[in-house]
Amino acid sequence: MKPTNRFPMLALAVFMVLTLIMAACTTPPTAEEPQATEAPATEATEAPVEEPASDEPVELVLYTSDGVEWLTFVADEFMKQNPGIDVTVMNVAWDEFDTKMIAMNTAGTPPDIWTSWGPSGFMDYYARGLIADLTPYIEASNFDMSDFYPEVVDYFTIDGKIYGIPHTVGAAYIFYNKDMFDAVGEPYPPTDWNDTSWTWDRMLDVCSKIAYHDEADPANSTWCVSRGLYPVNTYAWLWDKDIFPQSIYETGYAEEANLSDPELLEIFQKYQDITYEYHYDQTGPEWMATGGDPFVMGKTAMQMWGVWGFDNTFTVEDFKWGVAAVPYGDPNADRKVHIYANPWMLSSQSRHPEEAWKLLAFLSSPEMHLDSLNRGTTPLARKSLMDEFYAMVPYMTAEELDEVLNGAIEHGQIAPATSIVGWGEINNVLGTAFDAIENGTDTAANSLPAFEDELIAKLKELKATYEK
Amino acid sequence: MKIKNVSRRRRSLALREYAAFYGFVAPWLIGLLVFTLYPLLASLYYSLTDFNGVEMNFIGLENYVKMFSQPLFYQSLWVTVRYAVVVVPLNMVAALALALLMNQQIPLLSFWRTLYFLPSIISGVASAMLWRWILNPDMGLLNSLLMLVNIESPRWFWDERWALPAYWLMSLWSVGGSLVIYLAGLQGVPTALYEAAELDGANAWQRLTRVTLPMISPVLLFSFITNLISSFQIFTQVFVISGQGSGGGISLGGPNNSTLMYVLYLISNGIRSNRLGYGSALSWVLFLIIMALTMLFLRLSQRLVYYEDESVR
Repeated sequence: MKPTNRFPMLALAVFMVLTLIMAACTTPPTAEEPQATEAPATEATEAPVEEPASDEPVELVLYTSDGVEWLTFVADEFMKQNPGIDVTVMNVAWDEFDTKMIAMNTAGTPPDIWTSWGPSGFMDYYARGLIADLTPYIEASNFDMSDFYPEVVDYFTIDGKIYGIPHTVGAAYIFYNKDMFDAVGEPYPPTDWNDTSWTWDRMLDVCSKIAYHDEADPANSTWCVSRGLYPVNTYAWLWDKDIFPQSIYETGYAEEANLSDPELLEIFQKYQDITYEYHYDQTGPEWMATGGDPFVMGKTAMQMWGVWGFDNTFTVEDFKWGVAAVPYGDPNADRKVHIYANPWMLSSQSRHPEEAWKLLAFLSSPEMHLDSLNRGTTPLARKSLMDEFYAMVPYMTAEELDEVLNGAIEHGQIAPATSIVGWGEINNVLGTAFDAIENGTDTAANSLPAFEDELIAKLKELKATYEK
Repeated sequence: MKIKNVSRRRRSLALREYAAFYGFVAPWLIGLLVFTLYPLLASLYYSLTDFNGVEMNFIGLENYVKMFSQPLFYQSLWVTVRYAVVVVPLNMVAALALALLMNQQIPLLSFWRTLYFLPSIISGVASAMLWRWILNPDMGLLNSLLMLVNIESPRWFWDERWALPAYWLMSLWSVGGSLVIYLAGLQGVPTALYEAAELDGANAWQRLTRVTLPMISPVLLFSFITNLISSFQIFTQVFVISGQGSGGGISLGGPNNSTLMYVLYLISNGIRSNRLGYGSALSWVLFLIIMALTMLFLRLSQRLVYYEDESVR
């Protein structure tokens, strides 16, 4: 072969090798250079470190899947007050939130601050070593935490270290259509969480007067109560029961679960009966066919919702509505209600932790929180802003709202998605386990026990994976 | 001396030609190497690690060993095979039947061709949402029609016995892509062959089986292979129809894992659960399965496929 014929192959080979080397230079952190493992959440950021002076502008990424308008305002205000710090608000879709974050961490350009507005919860980020201990920053900057609900601050405090600054907070409530209650002459559900007369059975009594089921054309039906609590195990909390041991909400892990306890099976049968025995709630296909949210459309009298229910009900114009406590399953039991709270977190891998904290503190200041409240419909974790929120809610007095919102926090327990490591995976197993109940193809007693081993295996797998 | 100068000039010209060549192909080559080859090799390496997006430790074949001990891995494989075994032939027969019809001189031919092709260019998400409505057991179009003729309506996506058949049915929606390829193949069959067959007394069925099918057999093989690959990679439809986000009360890949397709299992583990190492191992196993099946069917098809130019075998 002539030398000139050999050249293209040689050139191509050199080109490929060079390109691969170039590509390899961008390799993510490997076992030899782990960023997170060297700075796990429990040990991250012992104390704020002064960044060396540099002429280069500091670039921060504020990562979110919601509230872009407010966050852009925050970023603009912050940059005005802090020349030399450039803040980018990165908005991604909810279901891409974690994927993108993985990619950014892998590429060595992690977002600097974010809140749990993606599928992963606070404990997931903590277990993976992604969030920094904020205590030294809070102390060094004298950041005032006294205005936040202490119960909520506790949710984000591990071993005495604070890993998140609370932002929104709320519980699970019953949103109800006052007009539909008035039409049948029934009193409204109570705002007092200690009112033990408001029970699951009492709720069914009310429903028997309100609901109307049209077998031939379900679209003509009137529903009574939509079961929108998430996740499904929290229904058992109304009876002070649970699929998981209590320790899971404290440590994030468990190696036990119960899907065969007769009392639990009875509770989940009641959950199914609302739809398939009494037709007080819609089936999945009926819900789809409604063409919108049945409560907002005035087709159902009550809606069990998390705090995000305020977002939906604020759009209602055709009827008066109210917010009440969820019912007791057993009036003699210590019923719990789950708290949804979102903290803002600082990346343990941030390249500018000082500036990132400055941004986080600015974002969490009373002024910015007030601005957030005025732009949105969700209560914030600052006690001093509750009156502002009460003034926004129609059809209810401040006293009623104070009773129902603060009462929930007193009876509350942080939601599983926030407090359990790998909740998404656990919930996948639960989702499959509850298919038969949700679709009415089998009873709780016949379907749930078969999934107990799988659920326990998943819990053990997660514990082994993350504790390692 | 003169010969040496000419040779040097030639070499210089050749070098400039190569430089120009690689300059022009560089964007494509860089793209291939950085965005295809590098991720491919990286995923192979990740499959040997416990990479979770943050940490990465080499664990050898542990992911592969773990995979074969997971009941859901076998379930996802079994569901995918059942999907592919029905959908591949179903789509081929439906597309071929339509292509044969479209190849006739019928009124409004362009309109019919466009009509049948149109669904295949609609995004998977949109068509999945549409089919969720069509197959709604209580108020869906199909069940309403079935009720008119007193046929008991299945609960389709909401019943584990009927969920997979619902996806089989739904796959017919996108036969337009194959239809166009078949139509091109049919129009390439020389009319002289049909004339000769008619002169020999061949009826319509014989002309189809003895002339048409052998002549378009390379197209059929191509369609079979591409349909097989896409069947093993089905994801969007199931992801949109099932899962929490769907709001229809069906778990992801449910009910009861009856529609847990392989790629859904892969994404669920690899991306949503941050097990990128395990997900990479799953994707390599899928690659090997698809490659093995493709090679098997290419080998088996050698006697069945007719190429006018034998050198292409």
